[in-house]
Amino acid sequence: MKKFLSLALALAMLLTSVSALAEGIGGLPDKWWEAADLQPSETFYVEGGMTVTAMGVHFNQYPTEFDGCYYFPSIEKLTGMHFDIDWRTDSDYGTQVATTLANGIENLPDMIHPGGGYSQSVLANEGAIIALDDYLDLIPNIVEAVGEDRMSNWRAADGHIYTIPTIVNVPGSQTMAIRKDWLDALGMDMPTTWEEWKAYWYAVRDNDMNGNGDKSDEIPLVLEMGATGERCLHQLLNAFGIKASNDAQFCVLDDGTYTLVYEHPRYREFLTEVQQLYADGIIDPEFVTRYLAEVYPTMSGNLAGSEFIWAEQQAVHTETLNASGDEDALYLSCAPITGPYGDQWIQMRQGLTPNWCITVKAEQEGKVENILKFWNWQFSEEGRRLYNYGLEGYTYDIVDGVEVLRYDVVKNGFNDYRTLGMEYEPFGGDWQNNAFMQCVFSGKTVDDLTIPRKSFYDGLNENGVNAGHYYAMPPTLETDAYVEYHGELMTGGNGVCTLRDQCIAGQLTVDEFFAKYEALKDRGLQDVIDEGNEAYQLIK
Amino acid sequence: MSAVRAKNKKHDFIRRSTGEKVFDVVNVLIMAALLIFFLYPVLNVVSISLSNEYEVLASNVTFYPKGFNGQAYSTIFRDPDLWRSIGNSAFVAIVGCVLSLLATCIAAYPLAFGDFYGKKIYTMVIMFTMWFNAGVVPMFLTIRALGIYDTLWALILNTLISAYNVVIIRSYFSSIPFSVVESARIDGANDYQILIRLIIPLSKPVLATVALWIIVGHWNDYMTPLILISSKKNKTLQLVLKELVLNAETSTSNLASVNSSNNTGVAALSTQIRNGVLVVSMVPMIVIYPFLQKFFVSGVMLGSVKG
Amino acid sequence: MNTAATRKESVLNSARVRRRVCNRIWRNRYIYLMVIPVLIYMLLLKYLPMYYLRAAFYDYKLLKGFEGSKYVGFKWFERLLSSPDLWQYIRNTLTLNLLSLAIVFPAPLVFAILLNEVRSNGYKKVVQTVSYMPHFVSTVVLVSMINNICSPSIGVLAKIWKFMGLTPVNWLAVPDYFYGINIVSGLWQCIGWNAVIYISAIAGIDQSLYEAARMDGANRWKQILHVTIPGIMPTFILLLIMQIGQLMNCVFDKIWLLQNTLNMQVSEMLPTYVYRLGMVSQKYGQATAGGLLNSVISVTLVLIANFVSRKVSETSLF
Repeated sequence: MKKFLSLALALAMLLTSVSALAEGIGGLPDKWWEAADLQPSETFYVEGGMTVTAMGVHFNQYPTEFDGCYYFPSIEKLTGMHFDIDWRTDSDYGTQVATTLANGIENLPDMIHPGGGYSQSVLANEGAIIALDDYLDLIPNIVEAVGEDRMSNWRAADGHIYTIPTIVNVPGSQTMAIRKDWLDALGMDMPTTWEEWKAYWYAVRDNDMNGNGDKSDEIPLVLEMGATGERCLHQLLNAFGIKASNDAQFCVLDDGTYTLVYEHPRYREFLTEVQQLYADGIIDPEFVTRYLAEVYPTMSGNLAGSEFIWAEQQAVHTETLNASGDEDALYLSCAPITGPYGDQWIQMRQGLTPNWCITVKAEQEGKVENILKFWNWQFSEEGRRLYNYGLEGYTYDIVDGVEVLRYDVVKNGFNDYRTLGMEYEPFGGDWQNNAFMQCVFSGKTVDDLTIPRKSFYDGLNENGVNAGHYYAMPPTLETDAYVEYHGELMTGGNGVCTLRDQCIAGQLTVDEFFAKYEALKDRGLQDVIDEGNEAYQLIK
Repeated sequence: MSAVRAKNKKHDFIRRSTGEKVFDVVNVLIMAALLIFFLYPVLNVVSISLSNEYEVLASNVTFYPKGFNGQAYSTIFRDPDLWRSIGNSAFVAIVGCVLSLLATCIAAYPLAFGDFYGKKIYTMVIMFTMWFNAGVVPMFLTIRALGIYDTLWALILNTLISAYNVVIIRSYFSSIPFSVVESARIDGANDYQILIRLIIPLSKPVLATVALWIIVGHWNDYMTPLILISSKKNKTLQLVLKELVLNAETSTSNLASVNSSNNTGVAALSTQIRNGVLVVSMVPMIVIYPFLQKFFVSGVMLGSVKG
Repeated sequence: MNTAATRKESVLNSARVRRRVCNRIWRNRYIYLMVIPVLIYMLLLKYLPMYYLRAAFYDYKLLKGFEGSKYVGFKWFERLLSSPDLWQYIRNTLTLNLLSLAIVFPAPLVFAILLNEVRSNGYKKVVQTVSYMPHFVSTVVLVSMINNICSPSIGVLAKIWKFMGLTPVNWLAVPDYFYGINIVSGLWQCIGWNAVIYISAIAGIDQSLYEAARMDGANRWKQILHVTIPGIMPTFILLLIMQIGQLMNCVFDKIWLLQNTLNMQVSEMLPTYVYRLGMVSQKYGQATAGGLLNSVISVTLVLIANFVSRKVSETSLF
């Protein structure tokens, strides 16, 4: 009972301290946007207004209330469009879409966010959404923002365009990192070849690098499993020149064929080498269960020799280790692992994400044209400014023709910026590098940064350590065959991903793996390959 | 309560054999071992939610908090919807519990004491629902058709009578001598009166058990409110807590600023919030238990009726 | 003549029967007043939704409903039953559930009996309250606890192993340990909670039976054997029959989250397989078919268990 009482007391104390903090974000008064003088846009304005209903996924600390931030009221003043959005949570979103669909066409919203298994392909297959191919002339700004290079990421596997994308024009933010202080202790330089990487890993394995008296607890190469369960091998695939898709399943061969990575001429070699590394204790023994949350303890627990992770984590865990007494500890962002043939690649951030699909209900009610024109406006200069920088004179100023966010807005990095409702990603738009970097730097310059923070910047900056190594990931094309067989033949109990991991862990030989893989091809995997390639050539 | 104490006292008058003494000691030790087995992970959850973020990141926290950081709780309690959602959950749990118990008793009574045409069919109608479940989409459409979508009553009605609880209560009813019902019928009482005045008071232990199941079921339920509740004012605690956890997770997986020196804790925050959320939802359930517990020892009344 | 007489008699008879029937109905009027609202409730909230189970026979499109979806007959059932992996997954499901039935299921009963024998009421209460706390730990947190404990780099188990001079392994990635981890975590989560029903059953035992046993000179052990256990046996058997209906199911979240590619050959179960097939690619019809198949097997198992139980112990569900 005492325990609960003291707990309650502690909570009460916290509550009071918190309520004092809750005001004045970004140095702006409550409802600051109401004072701004916003006139109807010259490029797009709906006389008399229009209400658009939507169902989407809300995340991060953006405000959830329609009038809780500057963004939606400003949109309404500028364009006359009123959005009525039913925000849902990401978990079990699929079930929520299912119930919405089952409720019939008359109860559909005008726009729906694909997700939770209800990808654009599934929604299109349900007959719930319309293709936008015939409307592209209404959205020239979006077509331009997507750009020729990313058209294949915009199209669905059937070649049609179904979504209004959200675009993030910022560089990749994941990177390889290495323990600089361990390298120094071993008298080694930053590895640049496959042999040097291996030398470092074996040295980490054989020495008590963290000095805790246990030689066996260091993990030379920590690999994050990733939410889709396949990302862990990405860096190693890249080192063998296999430029895989986001889920590490597809790649494009030199002759332009889109196929499964297992078809890549170097895959056998990759598997043989990685199997050896696992047997030697180089690769994380827990690679199949190493989810993001499980990566952190290896880093701040002084166990990780190198890892592929979000760039910021090098800084966070260096600081954590320094604060906990290990003052020399230093994770540095470094260039991607170099493979035996000198391949050195890292995936580019996927700049384009499907965000809204327009439903048949909106088509029935004749709302499509205005909705698309609005989104075209959203990707115009005016819309971009509102999305990235807020309102001039309140959250940003124009200095030498460039938008500069006010210090109070960015002084806490992305926190206040997002809490104010800027870069409202659940709603979507075109997030620009300039705004992104202003938040990263919080009003400072590179020279002000500490070494670990500088290393974070090096890891994500396109001119940093990864410069010249980025490649654009091929899309994962959800063809009919993919949808049909993905669950069973790829990720299932006897699927190819399972076999691959069993092979790496030594439960199967490489020959056995390929024999079983061939058998899976006969059961339908060949269709996945064929339809995928067909679709890829079509949308290319 | 007093009956049990009396029983224990009587025990003490009888001399205990060595074997019994050994048994008592071993038993106490087994219970102590189990106590640690059960308690450790729970203490761990509480400790993580309150510890210093560095210690959490380095996974150093075990039995008790190391350092102190209340950020998880301040994030949880800062949520403007939290208190209203607690009220909603409490309403559903309490009203739902009372109504469910009553309805389940009414459903179970004919099974235990009725001798009527159609009893077989009635039994099958109830039992069938235990295995054949239509799934969430049909449930949603039904609730919509009934016009109670997005109300707290939808949550209460959806699980008003469960076959499992009917079976449990019926089996307890069946252990009550039929003569109790028969003699009441001869005295002119109708079945509703018998149920409420005689049977329910005699079934306190099982009713307390089922009440606990219903309350905890409502309190912990996430899927039903996710489907049946849409407006903010009707959200239940689990929905709000889930949003908190998700928000914490997405905001930590995104980039924080290069420059803010206090960001080291952010990575730990989602773990701490997840554990803090657990504590917040657990405490009320642990507090109600002692209140229900007293019914578990009042079942001895049964003997007095028989005599 | 004869026929007229019999007809008359039968008319009389049927009148008598009718009267008797009416009488019996009238006598049970309050019973019907209980039955009818319950039936209405069941019909509205449990049976109306079941109409959708026929989606198992359609290539069901949620938006279009039954009119807009193609009837495919037994296609989904055929597809499920023809998978070369199906028997492996059924075997996995049954293995885990039979192990649970043998170990996890009786454990709360033993716990309840032992707890009842604790002499100090305060201690009893503390143990009981603490014992049911794990029930509130959500599966996600439970699994992350399991991951932490079993981790060969930072886990408690690894520390014990190293202390004993052994090399830790990644227990979660070794198929042999999968069932053990499941059973132990299952015990932790449900002993206390599931014991509640037994504790209440013990509370319902007539105290005079203990008195009588003591008069006859029964010691504590004999009292447990001859009074406590028979007293809670009906509850136990009832729960057992219901548990048998769950043999084809599994604690879905837990299995799903504990699955990894290295233990998949033992951890892929029928429900996870159906989920993967149906829900990952949003095939509503196929998922319904999988669920229906599971329900049919479950009911069959329960009917068998119920029949055996009625013959052997006189306790039965219906």
